[in-house]
Amino acid sequence: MSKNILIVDDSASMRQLVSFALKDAGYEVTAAVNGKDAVDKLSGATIDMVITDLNMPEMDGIELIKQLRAKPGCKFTPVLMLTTESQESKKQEGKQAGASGWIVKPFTPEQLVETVRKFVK
Amino acid sequence: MVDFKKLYTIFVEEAMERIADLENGLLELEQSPQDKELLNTIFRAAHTIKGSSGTIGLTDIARFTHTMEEVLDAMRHDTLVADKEVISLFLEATDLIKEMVECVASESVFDISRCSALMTRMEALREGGAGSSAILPDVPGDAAAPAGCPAQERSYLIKFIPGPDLFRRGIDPSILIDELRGLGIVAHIKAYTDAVPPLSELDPEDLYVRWDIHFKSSAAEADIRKVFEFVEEGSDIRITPLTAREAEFPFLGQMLVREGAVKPEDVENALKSQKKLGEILVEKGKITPTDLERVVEQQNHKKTESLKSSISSTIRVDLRKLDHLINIVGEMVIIHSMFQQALQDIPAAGNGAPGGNGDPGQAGSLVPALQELEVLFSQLHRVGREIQESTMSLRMLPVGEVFHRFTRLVRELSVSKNKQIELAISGEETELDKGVLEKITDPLVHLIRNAIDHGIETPEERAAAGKTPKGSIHLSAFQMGDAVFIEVADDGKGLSREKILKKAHAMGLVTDPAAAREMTDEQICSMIFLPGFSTADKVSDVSGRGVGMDVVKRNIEELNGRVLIHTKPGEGTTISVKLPLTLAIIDGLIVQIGGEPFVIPISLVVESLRPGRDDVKTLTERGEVVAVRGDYLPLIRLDRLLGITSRQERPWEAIVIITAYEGKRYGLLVDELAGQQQIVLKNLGTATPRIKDIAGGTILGNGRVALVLDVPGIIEISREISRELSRR
Repeated sequence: MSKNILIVDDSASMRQLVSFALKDAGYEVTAAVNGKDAVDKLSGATIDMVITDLNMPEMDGIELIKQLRAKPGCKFTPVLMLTTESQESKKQEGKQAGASGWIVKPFTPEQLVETVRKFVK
Repeated sequence: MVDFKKLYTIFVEEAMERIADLENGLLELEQSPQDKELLNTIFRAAHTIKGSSGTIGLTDIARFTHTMEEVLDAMRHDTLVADKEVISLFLEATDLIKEMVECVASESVFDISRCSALMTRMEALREGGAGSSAILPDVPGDAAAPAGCPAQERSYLIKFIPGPDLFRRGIDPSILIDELRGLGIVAHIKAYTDAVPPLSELDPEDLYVRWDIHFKSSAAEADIRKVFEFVEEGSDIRITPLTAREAEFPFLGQMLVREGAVKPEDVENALKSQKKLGEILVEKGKITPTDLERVVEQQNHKKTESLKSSISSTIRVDLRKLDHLINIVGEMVIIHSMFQQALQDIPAAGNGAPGGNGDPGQAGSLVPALQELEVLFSQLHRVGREIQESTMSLRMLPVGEVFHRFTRLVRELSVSKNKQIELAISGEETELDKGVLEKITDPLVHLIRNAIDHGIETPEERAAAGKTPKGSIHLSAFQMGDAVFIEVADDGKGLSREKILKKAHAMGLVTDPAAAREMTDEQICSMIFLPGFSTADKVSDVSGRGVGMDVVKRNIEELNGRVLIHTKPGEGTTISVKLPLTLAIIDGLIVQIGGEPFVIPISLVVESLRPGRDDVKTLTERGEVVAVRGDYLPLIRLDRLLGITSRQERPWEAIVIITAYEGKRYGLLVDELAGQQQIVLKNLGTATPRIKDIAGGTILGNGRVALVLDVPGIIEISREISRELSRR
């Protein structure tokens, strides 16, 4: 059974890009537009990995990671952050919150898949 | 324009000497790690190589030796102790330098990437030793291995000590290890669970395990590191490139001990339960035992080769010897001019004597002039002898040069055979002709290997036999008369009479049990020199000393030397090699055959006699024989062998020279004896093909050229002939 990855981003084009890349690599993809949407979509679904943007309305990426780590079902779920080079302090914050890794934007689909493979088979 | 070729030659020669200093120094340092003077010598050797290689633009060697020098400097300043691992590392480094220098000599290209692993380890040592931190530095792969170098599979030790919160960060370490598999081969992985706390204190969400991964990959080190990019923080990841040798498990263990990861006892225990790589492969059916044996043999052969190649074709002369020679030559020049003066004085002294009108005393003055000449002549004779001796001594080198190379051989072989062996060396100042010294190295390697392989028992066997667990090999040299003796003595189990006899019986050498009982120990021991004596069944043969002993014997005999064995079951074996001091000048017996003079080395002559008419017989199976005190010896007619016509067809009118070869006596038929003298053996030159029955040529006192007979060669030819005959 293929792994289900939740992609959280407020930019539609980014969600699409990431979805394409992951589906191409054989993953199932669920999309959420912000942290709150993500938390909703997590309940009841089996999610093997989360890839989240940091700056989002309603609930940003850091807060999402914190909530995920507090949820019994998501304690050990890998969470990747999508960051830019200039977001070094955010990255630290995310790591502290329990992020598993990060992908620096801009990235190629190959880079994305390569990184994802470090966390889910 | 600088002649770089010439510079290289000088560099290579010097570097080889320094490399020998390095090697010997390191081996000695292992015994006495506190010896500051020794450390200085080693340091200077590395320093010299670095300096001279740098000067002539051999930057790779300079860079490598520089690293070595820096570590040695740390040792000089007591921040690093020369333990066994450090010495092994340096010995490996020395080998590499040697290979690099050999590449310079042969003008071939050295793959410098082979140095990077050692460089990294040496740097790690220095930094660890300097007390800054014991952590191995992160050396990005591309910094250690120069760009553009072809991707080669290399071994790494990856120590992965994950932070305890790895799971809580959503990271599964097993996936990381899987990812490694995508980059190369995970040859060996060991999980350490010693940090797992007792159940009462255990947090199931924490990760307590750490791993050592022996990883083989052709990927760049940076790429390997990238696998761990998200765990680097909070975890400890050390990637250390390993050399091929270390990649085998025992060394891995040693590294772990050095890094404090495991206790020496742990490795010791692990090693006991662990089999050699080769054995594992055999067990898994990947290779056959024969393959393994062949490779091991090749490995050993390589060691022998490197021992051989280390004697250069030039010679370094003790300045005192050279000064002495120059002094005598000076003396000769003076005597020469005195001679000239004395000769000029003769006509003056004899002037008028024939005319008879001069002073009657003048005729008598010829006598003192001649007397003076006679005195000068005897002086010239003395000086001539001295020059001869002195020139010869230039060719003489102390055997220590060769002996000390064996320290390394013994060290490595004893490790690989799991034996404890101490090598004692004595008489290293004994001098031997360079030519002899070169040819003796091979046979000695053989003898020492045999002693380690078959002579000395394992520590357990020794303990069971009531001996010290550590065996010993005593390598000694001494001069006696005009011969040098080199002895290899071990305190191992000795040769077993029964086993040799059993073997001889199996080979059909001894068929009569009664005859076997009568054989002396010496006769029995000499059987191990027979060709093929042990090769037929060498793996299972317990005593098995005969591996290549026929070759050893043959080599020694080519030097006009002899091999003797003394053995006592349970106490050990001593093999003595008797060698002539030099090959260049030998005592020769001059014989006449068909009007031509020939020389037979006196060392090979047992006796000479004129046989009685009834002593010469022709036996149907053995051909012509001569009876000497009840024994029938094969008679070899040298004239026929050499293709000349003898003047004495009948042996009882000629002379039979008795010689001994491989424990058997032979009679050589010659026309007459013509005298005995020291001869200078000359090669016949490269233009002449090597003839089996002629060892060389010489010029006799009367100015005639004589050929020197190669007696062992002659005997072998005649054996072949008689075998041919018996087949018909």
